[in-house]
Amino acid sequence: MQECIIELNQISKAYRSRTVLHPIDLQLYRGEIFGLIGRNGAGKSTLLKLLGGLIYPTGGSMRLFERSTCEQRSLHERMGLLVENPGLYTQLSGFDNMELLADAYGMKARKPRIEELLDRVGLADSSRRKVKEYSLGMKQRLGIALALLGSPDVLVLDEPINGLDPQGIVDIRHLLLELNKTGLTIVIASHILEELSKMATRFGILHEGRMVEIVSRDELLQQCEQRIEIRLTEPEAAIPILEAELGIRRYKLLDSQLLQVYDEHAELYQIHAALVKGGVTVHGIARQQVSLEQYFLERTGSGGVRNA
Amino acid sequence: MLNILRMDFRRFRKNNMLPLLLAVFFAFQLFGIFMMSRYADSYSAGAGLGPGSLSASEFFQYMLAQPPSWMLLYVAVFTVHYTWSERSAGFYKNYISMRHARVSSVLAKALLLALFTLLLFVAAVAANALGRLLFFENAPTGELGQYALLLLLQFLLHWAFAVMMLFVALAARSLIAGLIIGLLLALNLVGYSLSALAALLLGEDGAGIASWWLVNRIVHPLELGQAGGADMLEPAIVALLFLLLFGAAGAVFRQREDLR
Repeated sequence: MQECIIELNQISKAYRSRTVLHPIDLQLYRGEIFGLIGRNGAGKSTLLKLLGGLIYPTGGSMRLFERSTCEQRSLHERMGLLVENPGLYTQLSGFDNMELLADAYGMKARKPRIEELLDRVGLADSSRRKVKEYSLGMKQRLGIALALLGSPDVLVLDEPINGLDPQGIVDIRHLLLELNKTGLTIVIASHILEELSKMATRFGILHEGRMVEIVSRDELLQQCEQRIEIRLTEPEAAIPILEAELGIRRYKLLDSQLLQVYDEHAELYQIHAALVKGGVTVHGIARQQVSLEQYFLERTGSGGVRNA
Repeated sequence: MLNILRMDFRRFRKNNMLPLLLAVFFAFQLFGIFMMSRYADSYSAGAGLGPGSLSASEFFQYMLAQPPSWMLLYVAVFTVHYTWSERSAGFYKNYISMRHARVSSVLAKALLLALFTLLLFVAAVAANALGRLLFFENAPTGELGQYALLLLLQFLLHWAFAVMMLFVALAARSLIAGLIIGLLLALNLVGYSLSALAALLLGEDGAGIASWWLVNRIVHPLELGQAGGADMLEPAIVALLFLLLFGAAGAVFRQREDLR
């Protein structure tokens, strides 16, 4: 059984009369990479700030590491945060920024730890340069190094690949996957779905302050997998025919009239012929595939047309 | 608390604006004394005395009482700049979720503002001493104990002003708003309004009440050495009151604030 380390119960946030987050229930487990998907203004950053203890909820409760944050606010210090832009003094060097934070943590033997982290994020050679001379990707990586300095249990990242070039995106992805392998739990918000799908093990879709859906990576990939959709009157009769005639084992019965077949080798005409031969009336048959974007758009009510 | 203080102190040491601000303050202070010496006749320290005949402590008070109070303006600008540089960089996001970090960061900044105020006083005392030596011949030193006491009281009052500004900087929604409020406070527009209102409502008794406003107390010359030390007690109480009030207000505000 996975250990639940973050538990949100009906947590909500409003600024005066404007509700930014409607009551949300969410459990996050140790060692997972949770991807938070949503359009700009969906409430992703607000949720991450709540997790990080930067803002206070207006309703609901939060448990971190099996303890309530109402009783112990310092539980938030076990989170490493990179929310919105990295918090950096641009007139100081990367090393100086790390050293400032090391002061706040009261770290004694800081130099080796700082150098190790800067090396890990690929900034060892430019650590003495002023941050204002850094590229966007370098700033993001320094932000991650800062978030890791306190050896957090959870890394909370908000759009860490925004504005990065393709190589920068790959570097960050490799870094995060590597960190996750060491047991670090990662919560990452992004609207770049394709990239998020390469890292996250579970996804939460946030829309207008509401958690619309929470789906595992396997479920998401299955939803987006290429399939054949068959509309027919007697699906129960069709299943034995497909198994016996075409050897199809992967299928899903969605309702009394819709059958989905996930078999890359099955051809439409073969299926149609086998069903007709078996006396099953077929109303329609088509190959379907939903892209990640379509899947997301459908759930956020923004339209999206399925490709035939 | 000590860790956050250590962090803020490191940032304070690396602040590029600090030496520049102190150098400019020193230079302008010296320039002010030079101008004073050139036009000594038009300056009057009361009872027909020119600034050259004042003791060190009287001269210091005389400089403070010249509107606008440059020292308050420098304190206001530095406090807003120092507080907002962290805010606009967003560096607080890296540490604010630590245990007691919100309150500690306010207290640490209050202590560093004491250090800044102290440096400003050192610059002012040095500029006054050098200026009087260069531009006023045979300027009397006066009683050193009284001078030290005056410096201590004025330091407390100015530090209290810095802590009040810290609260303003924390509560202000933008850097510009913080600076404008700071300038209005440093120029003592609030004090003048309070004095006028108190005089209007209470007549002569109003002056006593208005002197409890911090900036009025700073620009009003202290008459030290009076019987019973009454004139020493009132500014000390005003300073401590404002220190505690705005220090606590800043800490409570930071504790409850949503850091966006």
